Amino acid sequence: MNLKHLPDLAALAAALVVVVAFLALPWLVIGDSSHTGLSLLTAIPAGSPRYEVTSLFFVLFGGLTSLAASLVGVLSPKTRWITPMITAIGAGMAIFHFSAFFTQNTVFPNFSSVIGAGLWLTVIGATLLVLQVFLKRTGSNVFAEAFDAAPNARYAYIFIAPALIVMMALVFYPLINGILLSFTNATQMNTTRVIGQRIIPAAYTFFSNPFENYAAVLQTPQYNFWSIFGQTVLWTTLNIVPHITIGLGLAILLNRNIRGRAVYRILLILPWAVPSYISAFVWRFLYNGDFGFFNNLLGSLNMAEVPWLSNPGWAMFAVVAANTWLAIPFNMVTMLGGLQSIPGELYEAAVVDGANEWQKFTGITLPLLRPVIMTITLLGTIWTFNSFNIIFLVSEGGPFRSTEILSTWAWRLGFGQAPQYGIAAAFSVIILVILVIFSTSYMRVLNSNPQGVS
Amino acid sequence: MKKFGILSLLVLLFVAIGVQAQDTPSITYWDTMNDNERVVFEEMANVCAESAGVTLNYEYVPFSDAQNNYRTAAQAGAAPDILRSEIAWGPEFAALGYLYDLSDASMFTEPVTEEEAATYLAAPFNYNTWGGGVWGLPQVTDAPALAYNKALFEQAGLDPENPPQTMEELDAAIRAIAALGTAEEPIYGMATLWAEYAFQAFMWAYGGDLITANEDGTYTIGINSPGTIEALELVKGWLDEGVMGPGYDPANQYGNSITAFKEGRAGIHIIGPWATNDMLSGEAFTDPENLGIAAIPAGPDGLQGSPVGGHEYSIYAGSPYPNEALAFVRCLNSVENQVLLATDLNLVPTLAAAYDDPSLAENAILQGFLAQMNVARNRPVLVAGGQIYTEFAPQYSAFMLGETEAQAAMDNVAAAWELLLQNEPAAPAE
Repeated sequence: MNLKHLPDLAALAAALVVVVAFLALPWLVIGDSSHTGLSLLTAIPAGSPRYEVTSLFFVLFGGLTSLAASLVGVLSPKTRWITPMITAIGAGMAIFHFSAFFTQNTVFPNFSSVIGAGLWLTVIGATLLVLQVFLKRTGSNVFAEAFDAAPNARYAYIFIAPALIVMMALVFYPLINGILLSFTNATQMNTTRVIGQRIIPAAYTFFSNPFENYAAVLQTPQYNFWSIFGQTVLWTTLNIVPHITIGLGLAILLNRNIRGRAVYRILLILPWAVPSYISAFVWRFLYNGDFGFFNNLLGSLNMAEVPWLSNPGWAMFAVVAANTWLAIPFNMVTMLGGLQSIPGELYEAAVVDGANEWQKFTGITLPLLRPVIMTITLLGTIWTFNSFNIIFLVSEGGPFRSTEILSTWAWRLGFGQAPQYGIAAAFSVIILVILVIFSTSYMRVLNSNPQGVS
Repeated sequence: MKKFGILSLLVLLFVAIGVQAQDTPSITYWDTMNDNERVVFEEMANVCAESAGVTLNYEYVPFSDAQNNYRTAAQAGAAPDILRSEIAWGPEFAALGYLYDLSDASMFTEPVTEEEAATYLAAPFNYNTWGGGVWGLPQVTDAPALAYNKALFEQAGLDPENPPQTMEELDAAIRAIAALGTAEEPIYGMATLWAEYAFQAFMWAYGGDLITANEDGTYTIGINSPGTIEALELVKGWLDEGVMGPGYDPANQYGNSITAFKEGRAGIHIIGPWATNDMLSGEAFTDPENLGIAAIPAGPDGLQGSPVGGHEYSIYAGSPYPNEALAFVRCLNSVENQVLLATDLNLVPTLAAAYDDPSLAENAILQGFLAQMNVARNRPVLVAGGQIYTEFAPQYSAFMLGETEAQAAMDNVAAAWELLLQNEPAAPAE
């Protein structure tokens, strides 16, 4: 028995206690041995308050985290630096939420509470573990390397740690919280309210059918899911095509040795430097039906005025134009970077072979730019699908919701009149699923067809 | 040790500041008045803060953001002590537990008594009494009325001192004024109704309705009734013929309509007293006598209506200084101050006693708005009362822009309201 393993073994024992206790939870609580904590989670009883199930979830999360971490620690002495830490954090969280479950505290009254801090630690521990397991699978043990083998890498991990923690706080926690919310009947009327000394605890509950909100979103005409989904797809498609083509065209123009190239570059990047809400208000003013610049211009040319924001078709055109204006600089700069990485020798060789400009473009530029174009198409699609500012500020989703897209509409359901957090969370999860499906299939297509990628 | 010394000095400093700040209660007040109104009001608030013995933290929140901002802040315990709230928001905030019941004797040393409540006009006070409490004291009230340009009336051969009394006369007046314009420089008989809110006056005139609470606890939805449809077709007809303009642009309509009226490009505008100073700043009204205000005409069956709006002072249930806050509000709402707001800003007082003041009797603009108040109607006093426009607005726009039939649009509104009413929480037992 190696004494070095003692902390790991202690942690393992603690974790085992947590997991066993979790599995025996209902028996401990209500003397019902026919269920385990796991079965309580998988078949959430109708009407159970959300915070109870959430604490159960984190008991399981923390327990399994610590169990896995301590196992890894025992099996691989090289990782002993980090595993007891994760084990302790995981076990601590499990125990914390365990007690939350028994005392029936609201688990997330607000961000500043001790409980909130505990949640962060759980999330950090779990992520480190996932990272570790993932890297072990690929054959390199990141922590061993980080702390033993490569002294320089150690600093790298220390440096990314703050960013990682911020990511946990801003991405991981809201994500989990949102997914859990989407299974509940949460509205403005039944969530936690802290009013001075008085705290009204959350009273919303899980649905007996966990997907009740999802069914409501997809089936109730008042939630307008399908029409707004269609508008979102239209909005994304209409945006991406000009973003890529105009961006590419401008990048090619700017890649030449023309007089005053620096000035052009600065001018074309300018839209990017303006805060997007300011651009949005300027565009909205330009589009004003009675006093806007465009209509005044048309009027002075004796042409018919255009109902920029009051006709569904024109309004969609108007927001797409504004968004394209905003998006071009990024696309252009990225493409320009790609263009400049193409070796000049290839073009020289092509000239020697007698290729014309079009042949050089299709034979050299496009294939070598393909990875860049593919990547910004993917990024652009996700950004545009989720973009909020332009729609929200220029057309306000109008007229009569004809330019509303899923992200702005989910906001209106969640934070507009009569806030319905459960429904809005279900909307957001659906958006996430759509984008995950799109991204993975897109990446698959991209990877399965690597021709032309240098 | 040096660092420790500096640190402890800093801590001491902060403690000292903190102690000093505790001397007078600090009251945060969210104002939603527009720029013109605020000039007069802020001075009044400072005087009242002094007399109530509080340190005033005056914050400006644009009216369009106030409801959402307050919801978020109140939920997290960070709301201002006093909010200038639209009167229809009261029931919702009260149901959420955000507001003090001002008549609660266990909370206030001098609660609002029934006698004090009776000094207010009934129509604006009605919104505050949801569930038997008193959730705020109304500051001003309003109802959109018929504002008109007397010079244009005269040019069109209409009597500027005798504005239309019936919808038929209004229709004739609109057409007469519109005939003054040319193709290049159109003049509109009436500025385009800026939103469904202004349209409600026409809805009621023709016998339509919003939501009525019945004796047995059920609700009757009147938005898809024949009266509403008839009114919609009438207004749409004016827009299509071009006698009402500028063309409907929902996102910018409020500004476009009032600008057209201010510049003398529209003869009539349906607008409330909050916009009086804005209108008087326009070139058409450099002579304030040119602005006429009257009640919106009656429909074929003599029905009349205009939505009662206005603003109230509500006190946050998390405020540590309820008594000081109420004293401050009472000072703001004194008869003298209401008369001051009425004379300087043409805002309509909520205290019956304010109308006895001689300076108000001579103010023709204010008297015009008062005539409208007498035939104004309450919107439904429901928790969902502030939420009815969420569906009404886009459906109204869709109809006005010719995308849907009136009946189909209003049936959609009715269906959405039925969902809202299903979630209507019961008022607390008295």
